[in-house]
Formats: sequence, C-alpha cells, structure tokens
Amino acid sequence: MIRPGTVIWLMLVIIVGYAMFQVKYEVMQQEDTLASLYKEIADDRDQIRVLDAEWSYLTRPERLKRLAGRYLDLAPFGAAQIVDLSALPERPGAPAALVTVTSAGAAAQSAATRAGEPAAAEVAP
Amino acid sequence: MKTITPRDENPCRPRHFRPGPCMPVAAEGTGRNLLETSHTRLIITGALLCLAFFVISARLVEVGGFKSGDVHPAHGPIANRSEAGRADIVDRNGALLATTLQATSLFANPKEVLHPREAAHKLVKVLPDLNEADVLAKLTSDKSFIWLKRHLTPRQQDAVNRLGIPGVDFQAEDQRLYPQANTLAHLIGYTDIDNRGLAGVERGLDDELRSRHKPLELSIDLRIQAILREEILRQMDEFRASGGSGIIMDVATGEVIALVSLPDFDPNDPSASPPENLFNRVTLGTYEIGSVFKIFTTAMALDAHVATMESSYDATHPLVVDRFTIHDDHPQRRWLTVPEIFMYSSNIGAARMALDAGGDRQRDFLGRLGLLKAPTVELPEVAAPLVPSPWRPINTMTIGFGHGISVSPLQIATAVSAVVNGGVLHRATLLKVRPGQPVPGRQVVSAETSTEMRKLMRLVVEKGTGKLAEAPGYLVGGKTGTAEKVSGRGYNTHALISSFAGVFPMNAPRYFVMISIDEPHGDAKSFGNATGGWVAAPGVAHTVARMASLVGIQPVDEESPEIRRSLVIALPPPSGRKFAAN
Repeated sequence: MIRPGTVIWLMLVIIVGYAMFQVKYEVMQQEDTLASLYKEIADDRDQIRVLDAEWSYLTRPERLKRLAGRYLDLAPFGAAQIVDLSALPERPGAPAALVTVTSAGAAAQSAATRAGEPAAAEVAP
Repeated sequence: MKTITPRDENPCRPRHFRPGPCMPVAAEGTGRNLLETSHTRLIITGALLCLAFFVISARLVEVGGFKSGDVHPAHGPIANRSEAGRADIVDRNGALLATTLQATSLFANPKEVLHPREAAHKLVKVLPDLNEADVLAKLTSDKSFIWLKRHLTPRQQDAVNRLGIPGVDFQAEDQRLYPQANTLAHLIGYTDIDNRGLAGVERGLDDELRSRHKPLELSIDLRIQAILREEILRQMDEFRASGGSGIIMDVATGEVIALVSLPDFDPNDPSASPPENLFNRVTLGTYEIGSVFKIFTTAMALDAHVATMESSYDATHPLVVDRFTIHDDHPQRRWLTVPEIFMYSSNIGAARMALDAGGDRQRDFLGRLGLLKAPTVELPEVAAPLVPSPWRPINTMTIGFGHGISVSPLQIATAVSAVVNGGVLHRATLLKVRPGQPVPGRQVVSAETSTEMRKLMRLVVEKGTGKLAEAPGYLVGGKTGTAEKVSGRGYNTHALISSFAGVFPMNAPRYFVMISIDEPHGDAKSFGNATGGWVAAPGVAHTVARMASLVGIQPVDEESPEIRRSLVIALPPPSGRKFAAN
C-alpha cells in the first residue's frame, strides 16, 4: 500500500527534477545567446576596425587634395586673406552709437594685438 | 548458530523451494540488540543523505538566486581584439597611421593530403602567384603543418574553399595595415609577416606596441607631413634631384611634427621597392651640411662673448691654411661684420670666427648642442655623427662653415631649435607631448644669444642668401647651406646637397622647418643655380605658408614698427653690390 507521504515526495521529486532540467536547458540556451552576442560584438569590432582603416585610406591628404582640385572651385587661402578683426572697415549706415562702441572696441583690440595678445582671426571671403 | 525449523507454513509452496535462513538466528536478547544497531545505522545514513540533499539544494538556490552575475560561461567573453593584438598608431590628431586587421592564411597538413600532385595543380590555378613545384614540395613534405600562403583576400579564400581539397585549411591571423602608404614610410616603418617590428616606430617601440591597449599617439601631424612630402617632391622634380629629406620640429618641445625621406616605399609591401629606398635620410643619413653650421659658429662666438654683433672680420682675400684655400661663394672682398658674414654666408668670416673662439670651445659647444654623439629618438635607425679626430685648427675652421663634420638632419633640427627657442635644448621625440606636460630641457645658450640669432636668421631671409624662403606674413628666418658631397677622399663639385634650415615666426619661434635636396641640377628658372637658397628655400616657403594656418599661426605685417623693432639689425651702409642667393 502506498502511503500519501510517499506520493507527495514522489510528486515533489518529479516536479523538482523537471524544474531542474528546465532551468538547465534555459541556461544552455542563454549561454548560446551570450556566445553569439559576444561573437557579434567581436565581429562588429572587427568591422569597425576595417571601416576605420578604410576611412583613413579614403581621407589620405593627397587623395583629398586631388578630389578637391577636381570637384571644388576653391583654393587654399593666402596670408593676405587673413585679417585682424580690428582691420575690418566699419559697416556703412550703422547707428552712430554702435559705431563709436565698435571703434572703441576695435581700438582696444588692436592695442591688445600690439601687446602680443592672440587676437581672433577672420577669413575674408 | 543452529538450524531452525522453517517458519514458512505455506502448503502450496513448490516442492524444491527451501526457504533460506532469512533471519539472523540468535537468542532473544541478542536479536533485539541487532535490531537496535541496524536502526541506528539507518538513521545515521538517512541523516547523511538528507544533509547531502540539503547542501545540494542550498547550492542550487545560491546559484539560481543570488550569484547569477558572477557565473561565467565556459568560453568566457571574447576579448577586444585591439587589446589582444598589436596596438594601433595614430597621429597627434588621432588620424589612423597603422592598424591591425584580421586576415586569413592558408595552411596544409601534408599527412592528410591524398593526391598532392592534383592538389598542387588545383591550388596554383586559383592562386597564380604560387609556384606549382614549391607547393608540391610542401604538400609532400613529412610535416603535419606548413603554410601555403599568408593573408589571402576573401575572393582567394572562397576560391580555395570551392576546391575542397582535404588536408588544406584556413587560419585567422592578424595583419598589419598602413592606410597612409608611402606618406609616413620611414617614420612608421613596417613589420614582418608575424607582426614583429622591423623598422621605424614599429621596431623602436615594438615592446610598447605589443603590450599597450590604447592606440599609440605620435607627435606627427599627418596633414603637415603630407604637405612637407609634397613640397620636397615638387622641388626634387623641378631640379631633377636624386633624393630629398625634410623635418619639422616644434622648437618648444622637441616634438617631430613631420619627417620625410625621399625616395620612399610602401610599408604595406616594403620588398617591392629597391632596398636603398628604405634608407632614412633624416635620422640614419649623416651629411656635411655646409653653411647651416654657421648658425652654431655664430651662436658660439656670441654666447662666449668672443664676438659681438658689431665685430668684423677680414674677408678681403681667400684664406690659405696649409694646402687648403677657403673661398667665399659670394665674395664681398672687404671686412665684414658678424651679421654680414651670416647673411652673405662668408666661409672666410666664419672660419676666422671659429678660429677666434678656438677648437676646444667649439668642440665643447657642439657637444652641448648634441652634435657630437648619436641622438636618442624612438627609432632604431639613428646614426652617430662623423667627427674629426684629432680636432686640429684646420678642422675648427672648416667646421666653422659646416665641412669636415657629418651630422644627421635630426641633430640639426634639435640643435637649431635650442638656439632659437631661448636657448633650451630638448630631446627630439616622436611621441605626442600633451599640453601642459613638462618637457625636460637644458640651457645651452643664453636667452640674449638666442634673441640675436633670431635677428640674424631673419636677416638671411629678408636681405641675404635665403630670400626665396620668404612666406609673406609668417616671418621666416633661417640659413642656407650648400655642400659638395664627399666622394672617396675628396669632394664632388657636381654633386651637391642643398639645404635650407628655417624657423618661423621669427619674433616668437614655434616651428623649425628644414629641407635638403640631394644632387639637384640648376634649371633656367634658377639661372643654373642648384644652391640651398634656390633649391631648398622655396620648398620651405611653400611649406610654411601652407602649414601656418593649420597650426593656428596668424600672419603679421612685417613692416609694423613692433616687428621691425624686435627683429631688425642695423647694417653698415650697403656696398651697392648685387649678390645671388646661395
């Protein structure tokens, strides 16, 4: 005769056994996912390195110069095209008050330049 | 023990069945004892089993519930390959100069190859650069591993895969790649097929590159490197020269910003170039650099107060010493002041000045500037200078104008930087110096001498032999140098090395720029001249004009009073004589 206690224990053993294998398979599956994620990361990193190298190859200064020469209507600017902010003429038609302020600022700026302070450079078109 | 009567009274029992003695047979008291012992044992065993189950359950709960974060899968995380492989090399702005990529290589296990002849034939068909006899020899060797071809392209890998030859397989490998190709060839160097550094920074910092995780930052600026290389190539082309070299240095830190040696090679395939192209002229080549040395002679005389800016020397006649005669290339045939000797590049004047200072002082001074022993830099290709021994008076005189001593352009760069930066010598370096990072240095000339030398070098470009080095707005100063190449025991008057060593901006020096052109030939544009002032100086001018805005140097007005005050030297009334650039 089977006692109820035995039945309960048997049930428990079955349930625990099932649960354990369930967990085990789940873990195995998760590990597979993890491994494939790691592999994906490694592949992506490799891909980034390849793209970095390619970017560096495609932006070689000599190549950029060649392409700029062929497709752009631009040339390197000369020293004469770089002027100090204070050297720019005042805007015609500006309000009188503003003009005085600007010229005072410009005077201060040119004084600073003379004293060896770095001044902002502007590229004339 | 005695036999007992069977307790089985079953009448239906098979006849041959005799129940065995199934119970221990003992006296009444002994049986009870036995039962008790068994019971105790059973309880102990049960308790032990329970304990074991409890431990296992506890562990299960622990693993499942609490420690999940610490559990590592058996294979572990795949390491970042930049950490595993050789470190990248980047320039000071982070542009990639050398990197490591994954490549596939083909190997064979000859013991598993069934039909070597057929396999070799098939392989050579898809990999035409292999030699069929070689492959066959490899496939029939008695090894169990042999490389057939390293670093296949994906297309080649696919083709070999399709052949399906047993015993032939692929292996992933690291391959070093140089995206900038020739531009930095001598500087970066290259590695062998197993990624061991063989030349340049790859060899000089091999251990560092193997062990470090982050990219290695060089002091080089790729953009300026490309500009310098292009300008030297242009000058070489124009004057049909056999070679050229150039170096740009930050005078305040000793950082090498650009380093060019031409002809060069592709570090991705160094064996494709003739071996002489691998020679680094800037660090491994030593040259009699000629009049550039007058910078050191003049600085020495001024620093030791042997001469002042007002002193003058007799340059009326060529100087005859023993069997040597020292001539001037641009003879003025009169007494010349120190600034005039410098701007007209008078050999006679420089020789007299050197003699005035004396051989011991000269040797001591050049030694302080690091010109008498091999410099240290992060490259294996470094040459020691050729220095006369014994140091006789005639050596003192010729060294005064840069003959009879051979030094590398790298040494010149380091020494001239010290002369103009306020007198502090910094070791040349290829590694980036971070802003604010202290740079060790040694005071080698006084600040006053340095200021006077700036004025003299500016004078050369403004009025002297280096006029073509002028880049308007950037206050270039410098010194020309033209030397006949040493051939055998004498000099070859037709093979020159023409140089210009420049610094800009001269009122507050930032960069040293030097270009040397090897064996230039004068053309119609230079009126047949092939001297430093005609051949190398324009290259420096172009380089300065193009790089100045990249490094944030603002052009100034040369005629403004504060610039004139800081740089101009009063000369005696001009003699009215015209002179050509040297």
